[in-house]
This record gives sequence, C-alpha cells and structure tokens, in this order.
Amino acid sequence: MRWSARAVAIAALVFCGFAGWEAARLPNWSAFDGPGPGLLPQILVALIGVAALGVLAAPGHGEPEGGAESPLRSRGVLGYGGAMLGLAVALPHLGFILSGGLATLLVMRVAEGVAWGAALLWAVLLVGAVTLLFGTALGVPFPPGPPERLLAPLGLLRLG
Amino acid sequence: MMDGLIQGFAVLLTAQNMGLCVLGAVLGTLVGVLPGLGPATTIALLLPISLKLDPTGAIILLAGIYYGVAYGGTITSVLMRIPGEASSVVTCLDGHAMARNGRAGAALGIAAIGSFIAGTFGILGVMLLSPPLAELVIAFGPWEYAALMLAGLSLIAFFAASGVAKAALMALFGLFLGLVGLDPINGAPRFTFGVPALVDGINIAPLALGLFGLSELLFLALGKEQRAEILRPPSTLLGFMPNREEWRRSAMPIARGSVLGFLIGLLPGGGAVLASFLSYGVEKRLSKHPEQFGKGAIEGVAGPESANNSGTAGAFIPLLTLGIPANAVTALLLGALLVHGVQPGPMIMERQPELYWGVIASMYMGNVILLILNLPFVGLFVRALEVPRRFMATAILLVCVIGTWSTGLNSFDVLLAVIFGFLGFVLRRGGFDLGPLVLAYVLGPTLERSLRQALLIADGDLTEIVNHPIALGFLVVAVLVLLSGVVFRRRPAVVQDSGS
Repeated sequence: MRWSARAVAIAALVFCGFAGWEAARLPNWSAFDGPGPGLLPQILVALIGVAALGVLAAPGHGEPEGGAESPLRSRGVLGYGGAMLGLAVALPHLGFILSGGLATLLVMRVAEGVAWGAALLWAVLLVGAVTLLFGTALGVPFPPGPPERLLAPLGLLRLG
Repeated sequence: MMDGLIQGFAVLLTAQNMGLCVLGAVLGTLVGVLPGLGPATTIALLLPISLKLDPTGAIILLAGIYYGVAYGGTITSVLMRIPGEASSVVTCLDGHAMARNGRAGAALGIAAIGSFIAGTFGILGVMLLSPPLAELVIAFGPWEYAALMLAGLSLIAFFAASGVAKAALMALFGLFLGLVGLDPINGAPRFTFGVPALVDGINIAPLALGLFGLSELLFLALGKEQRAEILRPPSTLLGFMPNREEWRRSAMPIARGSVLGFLIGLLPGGGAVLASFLSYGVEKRLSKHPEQFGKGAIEGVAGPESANNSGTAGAFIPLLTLGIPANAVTALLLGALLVHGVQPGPMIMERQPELYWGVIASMYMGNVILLILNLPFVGLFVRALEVPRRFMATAILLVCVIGTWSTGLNSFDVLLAVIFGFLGFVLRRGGFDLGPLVLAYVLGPTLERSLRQALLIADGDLTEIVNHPIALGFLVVAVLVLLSGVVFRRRPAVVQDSGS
C-alpha cells in the first residue's frame, strides 16, 4: 500500500503542475463579475499539492486491497483490463453487440480459462440479454455497428 | 405531516412505484449477500436505468437498494463469517459465533427484527426532524452554505479510514473534477482541452460506473474464487425466533442502537458503517459480561444491526433537507436527483412533496417488505453465492459500458469510465477511500457557486464571514476537525460507506 499511495501522491503532484498551468490561464477576479472561473481551481490545485505532500510523508501501511500480488502478474486483471480498454476503443467502430460479444468471449477464454464453446455460448446469451434489456425494453439508442444496423429495421433497437 | 404521509402512500401505491420498491429491496438484499458488490456499485450500475424512470420512481428504487443492503449483509456475516458489505463486518464476530453455537436462526431473527424496529425509528426521525431543520436552513445564505459544505467535507475526511491526508486529497480531487466544463457564471471553458464531450462537465455516470463498477470488476478479477463454508439457516419461520432470554438481552441494545445509529447517520462521513462499529463498542462497554463478546453475545448482533439500519435512514436527513450527502451512496442518490433536475434542499418538501413523501412512504413499506423477505427467503439469497464469479463479472462489464453510453450517447464517456475504473483500482490499492471523491464531486459545483456568490456580495472581502456567525461556526468546526485529524492520527480507524 505504501508504494501505491506514494505513486498516487507523485501522480497528484504531476497533475498539480498541469492543472495549475491551465488554471493560471483563467482569470481569478474580474471587476464586473467578481470571483472568476480560475479562483477555485487555483486554490484547489495548491491544496491538492499540500495534501499530496501529506500523503508522501505518511503513506500508510498494511497490505494493499486485493492482496500483495502485483495486479500486472494477474491473468484476470490483465484480461478484464484489456477487455475494458478494448471495448472503449472498439465501441464507436463496431457497435455494442459485436464489441461486447468479443470482449465477453475473450474474457471468458483468456482471463477465466473457460472452453471456447462455453465462452461463446455465454457471450451470446449475455449480449442478447443486455441488448434486450437496454435496447428493446428501455429503448436506449445503441452505438451503431453491423449487427445493430441489421436489428434496427426490425424494431428491436434504435441507433444512437 | 400526516397529510404528507398519506400523499406519500398515494404516490407509492401505484403498480410501478410498488414494483420499484420491492425490486430495490430485493436487489439490495441480494447485493448485501454478495461479498464485494456494495451498494455504491449497484446504485452506480442502476443509475442509467433509473434515468429512464421519473425522479420519484428512480429514488424509490435506488433508496430501496441502499437500505436493503443493510439487511442482506447480515446473512453472510452470520452464516459464513463473510460480511456481504461493510456495515455488517462487526456482525461477523458474534453473529457467526451464535451460528456455530446452533443459534443461527436467533441471530438472523434478532438482526431482522432489530433492523425493522431501528429502520422504522429512523424513518420517524426523518419525518419529525426534517421540517424544523428545513425551516432553519431556509435562512442560510451563500456564506452559510459554503461553510456548511466545507465543514461536511472536513468531517468526511476526519472519519475516513485512510487518514486525513488521503481523504483530503480525494475530496480536493473530487471538487476539481466537479469544476470541469463551462464556468457556471461566465461560461468560460475550464479543463476541457478542446474535447466537446467535456464542455458539459464530467457526467456522474462514467465517474460512478468507473470508480465503483469497473474498479470492482478488476478486484473481482484479482481475487481468487473460493467457496466458503455456509452454515445452514433454519428451515421453518419458528426457527428464527429468539428465546425469552435472548429477547430480554436484546431489547436495550436495539433501543440504544436505534438512537445512536440515527444520530451518527446525520453526520457527514457517518452512516451505517460507523454506526454499527460504535454500537458494538457501546454494547460491549455496557455489558455485564463483556467476555462473552466475540463468542456469541446476542447484544453484539442486536445493537449493531439496529444501528446500521437507523444510520441508513438518518443519512436521508442531510441529503433531503440540506442537499448534502453523508456518504458515497447518498452522494450517488444526490447525483441521480440532480440528473433528474431535482435539487434537494430545504424547499424540497414544498416544491416536490410527492417525491419527498413518496420516498418516506417507500422507506416504511421497504422495511416491511424486507422483514417479510429476510427470514423465509434466507436460503434462496444464500444460493446467489453459488453463482460463479465469471458470470457476474462479465455482466458488470457489459452493463457498465452500455449504461455509461446510454446516459450521454457518446463513446468518450465510455473511455472516461474505463479511465476512472483503472484510477479507482489504483486508488483503492493505495488505501484511498473513494467516498470523499464522489461526495466532493457532487458538492463541487454548489460549493463553488455559493463561495463565488458570497465573495461577490462581499466584494472579495473574506473578513465579511465574521458578520455571519453560523458560517463562522461551521468554518471553525471545519478547521478544528481537520486539525484534530492531523494531530490525533492514531485514533481508531473506521470503515466508510464507500460501497465496497
């Protein structure tokens, strides 16, 4: 925990640098409006810096949440983390059904070690259920992808 | 007041709202049973769905989850010695010991009955205290509001398990996130970096779903799937009834837990978790047989279980009458209300009586539903623990993604949610509470507006605060609390309602 807390504190100090530079460009007082848009950000950036130094000085102790094992060596974290990132990147291009199905399939196979057939079955069932709940029942417009374009004319979902 | 309550029941007793009340209570119990999946995660997951409902229905559903969790968490604490969520941690000690002694039914029974009594007491407290508090707060100006929020945030930092520096860092970062977007007064863009999706600010959905949903997913992936031993619950309703001696020993702890929990629930940073820990400490100190605590003392179940339920109800007072959430879960409830265009505060009883009284009525009804649900269906809820992690985790992933997309209909929000997911994971690994971050994020815009109005009226003169004794009082409290947090660093840490 000590290492992670210090890393967060250092990241916060770096953040202070960038945010402080941006905040300094905003006026903090104007004769007409009084307090400007830069006032609170500038105060906050300074206080974040002080709090980050406080964390650096007293980072705490004990085992990190989730155990001492490095998450970078965990197949589960890498699998799920990769799926999360992949989904966010693929969503605008492939739509939800395809990218969600692929992400579920890969997570089940790579992170969870499930056989291809079972992984594919669960991916189809899960994506189908989520599509029916959000797309059909709740009427959420879906990000357009090839399957969505096929389903939209059938009235099963709307394109966003 | 009675007219208001009748109006509330009229709002509640529609098919949709009753259905949402039952759904919230059941989901809350289920979430309480499942270790890892906390109320904040679940409320974050359901936030996009709630946006499809009217504000009253949305808050009835989400509030049901919040108070349902306090009931459900008991089941695994007693039968498995694994707390379903943070406010039931302390119940593991004596609840599970009672189960080992063959009194699992009595432990679950007294927890459910104590929770019902305390929950009802808490709701009565909300009904009785909210109107006078609202009258008092109505006179507050920008100085008072700004100082009140600062005092609230400092209390949250003080109570945080992670320590003042870490909690303060989280709260300040949360305030900063709340400032992203167009300046509310002169419309200047702040920290948008040319990204059109950031012009309206960071939405609560990517923030909440990322911090609570996706980060939880990474923790689920990190942990090893294990099957714990589950003690068998009684098969008949009579098996849940405590005996005469257990009733006698539980009466006062329930009464004390109800009052203590309610008072703790009113404090920013308080809530169900702190209430249950304090109640346990009080009962152990007052007991004639403190040596029995940890070995199956029913007082150690009755007191904390009552306290966490009345604490949950008590947290609704600052939320509804001041618009200030007491913990991360109520911050998400506030966020949901704000997205619906409802601004909680002293005027809510006049401007949105159907929402206010509808929620109160749903809390009464929810308590009854939970009492009915809790005992006969314990075995059914326990079976939820047999669902393999991979099914739950992949479902969370897809619901988070489509839920985030549905609130803003843009892919940038999904990317933002993923970034917040990784950030939440790293922060929790570093021992940071996410509660203060979300709370401050929700309060940030109001705090800034109040502060800037106050400074504008005073022409930038900060000493003007001395002419506002209430605001000065809040500010003194804020400074004292923060200083004492720094000076007395070795105080006993408490766990916050961070949702995990």
